[in-house]
Amino acid sequence: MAEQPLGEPAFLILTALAEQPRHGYGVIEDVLRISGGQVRLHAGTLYAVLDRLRTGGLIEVDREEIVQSRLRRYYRLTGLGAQRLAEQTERLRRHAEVAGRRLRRLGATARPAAPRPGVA
Amino acid sequence: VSAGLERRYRRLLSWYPAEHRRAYEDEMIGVMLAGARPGQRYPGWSEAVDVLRSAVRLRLRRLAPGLRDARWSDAAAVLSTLAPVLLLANAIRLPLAAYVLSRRLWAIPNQDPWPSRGTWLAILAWLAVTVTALVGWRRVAAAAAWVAVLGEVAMLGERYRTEPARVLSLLWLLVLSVTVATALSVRAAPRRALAVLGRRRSIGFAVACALLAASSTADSLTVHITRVGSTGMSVDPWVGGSYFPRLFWDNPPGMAAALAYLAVAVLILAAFVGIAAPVRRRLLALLAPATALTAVIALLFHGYAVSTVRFSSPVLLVPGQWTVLAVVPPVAFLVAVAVVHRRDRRLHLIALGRAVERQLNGAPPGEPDGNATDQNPEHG
Repeated sequence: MAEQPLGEPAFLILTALAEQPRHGYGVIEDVLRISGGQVRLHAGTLYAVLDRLRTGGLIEVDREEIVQSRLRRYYRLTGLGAQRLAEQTERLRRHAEVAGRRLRRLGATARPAAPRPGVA
Repeated sequence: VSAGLERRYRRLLSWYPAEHRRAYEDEMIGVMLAGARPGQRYPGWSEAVDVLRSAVRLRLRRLAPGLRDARWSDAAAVLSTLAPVLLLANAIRLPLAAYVLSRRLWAIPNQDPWPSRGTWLAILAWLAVTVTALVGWRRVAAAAAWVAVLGEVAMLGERYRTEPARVLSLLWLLVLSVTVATALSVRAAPRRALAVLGRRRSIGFAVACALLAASSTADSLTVHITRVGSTGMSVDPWVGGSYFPRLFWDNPPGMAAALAYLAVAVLILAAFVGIAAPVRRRLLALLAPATALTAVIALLFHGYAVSTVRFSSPVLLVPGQWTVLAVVPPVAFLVAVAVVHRRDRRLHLIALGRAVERQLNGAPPGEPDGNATDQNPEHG
């Protein structure tokens, strides 16, 4: 447990890149999709996290394109990034399972909310 | 998409450090423009806040490694050893003056010669900080300094309702105390201060502090007392003097006090000038929060300070004014740190340039250059 847990934006960004390499705006759109419209990243947060993930070796530049005279840099997950994402997913799953069990035991007093429609 | 929006986005991104801009600016502009609504002309509010926040955070993060430099710890050491002595001298001044006055001019009804509880706390706390810092017990000194800060806050809080202008004029003391307490808590090695300062200048500084503490008694010690009859007496103060203890920043001092202040200033300046320039610059940066606050209060709050005392229940500060007072010290520190680092980089580049020049002109090839600055540039 020496590694710091990933924050929510970092987790979602890695998840977005786990499917395929994406450019910055592609990441924003995918994160919006993954989170069921709950997390809309702005450029400041996005690039702060991308820079950190890049320095940490969790992602790398896949390729660069010029579209309508604008630079588009595609990022992809590295092996290390995939490993960290897997660890983090496992960790969150464990926590969520315990939380779910306890909430069920709590029974009638606090029922977990029904799943939101449209969430993947 | 409008060119104005792109320009405004670029202006927003100029808050980032240059390296970050070089790496990501074009990409970020692309992302921001892709996310813009058709016909949008200005960056969205939350978007702008997001960019500013991450830019400021990035700049702060870059500041931190530079602060881990030995010259910063030297400056912090000097500040955290000398400032407590100065604050102690300052806390002693008025009670000492009141005491001397009550002894010498016993017939003049005067304020209670015994200092208030808050003043006692300040004196004891700064005395504890001074002693423990000189002995080298950093953690104890830090704890004592925070006690002094708390005492200061309590004292200012007590007076705020009745004399807000006075509190305003004393806020720099609080900021200086917080700076000292922080420096001690972070890592200043207080005993290092004496090595940085040298023995002669350390003694000079101590003498200056003693003089400062004693300067408040100058007036009462220099009055000329003539007995009139059996019970009366006539009291003539020395040039410009007064019967009552006064603070330096309240009134123009009398001649005796002015001479003492002059000596204090000369001694402190002599100690300060002798410190190596890079450490001295950092010392000034550490003092920047207190000095900037003093300047801002003198410039922006003068009208308030003059007018609030005219009301029987004084007008208190509004939240906007508090915000200014709270924001100025940390911002002043950050700006000062940035200025110091920028100057260091420039001096480093100049030294490098000189070294290259010398190698090109003077030194024959293959012969090592003997100049120490070339082998020992300030930055690695």
